[in-house]
Amino acid sequence: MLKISHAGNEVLKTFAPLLERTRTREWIWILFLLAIIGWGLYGLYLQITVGHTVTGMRDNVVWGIYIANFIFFIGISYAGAVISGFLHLLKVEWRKPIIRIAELITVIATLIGPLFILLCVGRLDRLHHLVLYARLQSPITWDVLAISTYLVGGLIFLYLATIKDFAIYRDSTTLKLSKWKRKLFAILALNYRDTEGQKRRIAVSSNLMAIMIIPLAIIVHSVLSWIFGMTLRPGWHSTIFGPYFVLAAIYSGTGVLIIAMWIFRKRYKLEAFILDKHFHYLGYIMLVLAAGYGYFTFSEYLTDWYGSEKWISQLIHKFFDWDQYGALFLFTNVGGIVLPIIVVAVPQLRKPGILAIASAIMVLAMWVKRYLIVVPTLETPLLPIEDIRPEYIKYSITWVEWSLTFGGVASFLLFFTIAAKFMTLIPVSEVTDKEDEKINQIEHGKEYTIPAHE
Amino acid sequence: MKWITIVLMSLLFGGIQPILAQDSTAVAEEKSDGTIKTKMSLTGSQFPDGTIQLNALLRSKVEGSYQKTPNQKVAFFLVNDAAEETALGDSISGPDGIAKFRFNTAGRNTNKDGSFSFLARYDGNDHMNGSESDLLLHPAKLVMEAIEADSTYTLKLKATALSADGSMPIAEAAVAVYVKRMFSSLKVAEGETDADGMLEVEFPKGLSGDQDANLNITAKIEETEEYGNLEANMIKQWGKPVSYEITELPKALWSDHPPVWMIVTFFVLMGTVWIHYMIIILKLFRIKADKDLPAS
Repeated sequence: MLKISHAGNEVLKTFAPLLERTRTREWIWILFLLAIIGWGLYGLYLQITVGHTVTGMRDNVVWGIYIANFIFFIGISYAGAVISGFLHLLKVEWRKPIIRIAELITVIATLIGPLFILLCVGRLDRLHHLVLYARLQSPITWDVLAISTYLVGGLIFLYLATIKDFAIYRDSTTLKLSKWKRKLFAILALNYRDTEGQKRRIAVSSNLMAIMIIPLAIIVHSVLSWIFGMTLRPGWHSTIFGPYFVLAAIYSGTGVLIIAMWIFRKRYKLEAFILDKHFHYLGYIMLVLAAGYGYFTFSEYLTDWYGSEKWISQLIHKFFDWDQYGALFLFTNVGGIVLPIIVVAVPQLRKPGILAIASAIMVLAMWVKRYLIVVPTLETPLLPIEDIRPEYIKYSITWVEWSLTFGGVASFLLFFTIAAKFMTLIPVSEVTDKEDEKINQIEHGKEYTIPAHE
Repeated sequence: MKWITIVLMSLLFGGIQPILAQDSTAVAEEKSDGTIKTKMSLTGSQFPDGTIQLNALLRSKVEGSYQKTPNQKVAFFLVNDAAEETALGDSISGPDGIAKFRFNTAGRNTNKDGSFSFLARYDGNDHMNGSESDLLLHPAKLVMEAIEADSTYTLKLKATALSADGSMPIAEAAVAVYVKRMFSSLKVAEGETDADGMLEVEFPKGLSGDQDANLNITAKIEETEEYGNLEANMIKQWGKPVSYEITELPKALWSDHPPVWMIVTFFVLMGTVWIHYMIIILKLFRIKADKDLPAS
């Protein structure tokens, strides 16, 4: 049987009810999510049987909210890549309690994101052509290959970090698991018994994955940006689109991680493990990224504006016109750049709750930003089109698209809920006895102080 | 290139056509009588072989302005002095709203004043009103002759009006010479006929032709009250040969095969990642197979 620290035991005790059974309250939550997904599926049924006319997408604006969702979900998947990969390589100690949540965000967001691409495909019956007749010259092919490779990488990384935990669940005498679940954990634990050889292999594999997941994540989001950047459309054909997308993705991913940490800390009373310092550190990361993202945004629009090229000027005008996209553009810059910087920079505001709210506003602003990248450009065609219906030029989101969008968000939450039934959201094997002191202090009503070496 | 252009033009016009039709229907629903007003204008071009090309432009009033109306049947008639109509045939209007009909004057009697009187009629349908337009043309022709001398190219043009009394020169008529280009015609020379109806113009050298250096040359006297348009066409090998064979474009990603650098980069990148995945999966199998004792 594997040795487990006292702190690990505490984590196991906290999450035991989740692993052992599903309570009525959880069933209601799951049914609620399934109802939203079901409504989304009804929208999908209409979209397939009636056609894309039930969406706001038309001849000119061929992409809409679905692509914005796709970029958004792939973006937030960066949370795992950054926290798991980058902090793992730097052997940052404080990453341990939040690593599982980050990795789950990566895998689940990478699973959900590409589904939105499928929703844009007019002929789903020809989907297999994407593989059978793949053209290496097409950025779409690059995207399919990069995202599927990234998903496999994310799954392997998550699994490597969970094997020890699976072995603990398998051997635990305190956990009252059903037979099938214990059997499943035994299979997933791969006969792990904490031998030197097993420990070494997991350590080597985790390091390898940590090294690879970072460039892989950068490539995935660069490729995603190149779908836009490789076309000669106003607002898309930009050399900085690759790094701009990568930075925005890490930024929004960090925001989602802060929100998830805050929700789980509140919900499962994890104050002993997810400390204020975790929020502060991620807040600092968010501040740096906000500044970088703000710089990229300013640079991008300044050069576009200064160049005064005809079509780009038309696009820029839309962003500064209050009757068009002015309000949304202002929101993306204030909510997505200025607000997070202020909240992290002012010590009085640097509190988990406020950071989580600022992150939520920032994440929403980043979603709007993706929408502003996709739609206004398509509404600014290079060829003048005369005698055409206004709805062919002007995109508006239909209820079907909203239903599928909320269906996607509900799927994300449902996958998270299901994942929490099979693994503890804080890695049991990673928390050490060093955590005991914190637990004792918190249990005795004292505020935990961060030792200097942390 | 030629084919790409043809496909693009077809897509462009093919795409606009149904939209116009849909728009017309949409407006009809808003009108109290449920119909749309149409307007017809008939023009004609006479050719040296004695044929007359009749062009009937059909337009319908959509949202306050007249727009070209495709896919509608237009009937053409010859009208005699007694106002009796003889049906010539009918034609469907194209994407440009023009219905075309070629009339051969051979064996046809003119009216007493030596003219031909034509009528184009659109009967309308449930959504659109009918309309018609007439045209009176006196037979005439413009003849073009190509002369090559002293390494210069010259076009000799003669415009004559035809009547029962014989031919009469058309004096002081403005003539323009065009060469057909990819999208429209390029005017390359112009002048005015003399008292004998004659005009000589020099033809420019060095124009791009097809792969055999052929140029499609058209001379026109346009929009005269009596004769309509007079046209003469010929194909001459007076251009510069230009091959329309698609040459290999170094950056053409739509070509059959991707560039070599792309294949190499792709396989190196993907290969590196997937080989590492395989190594890790192999390690996972070895973890399972490990028979060692746990570390104390």
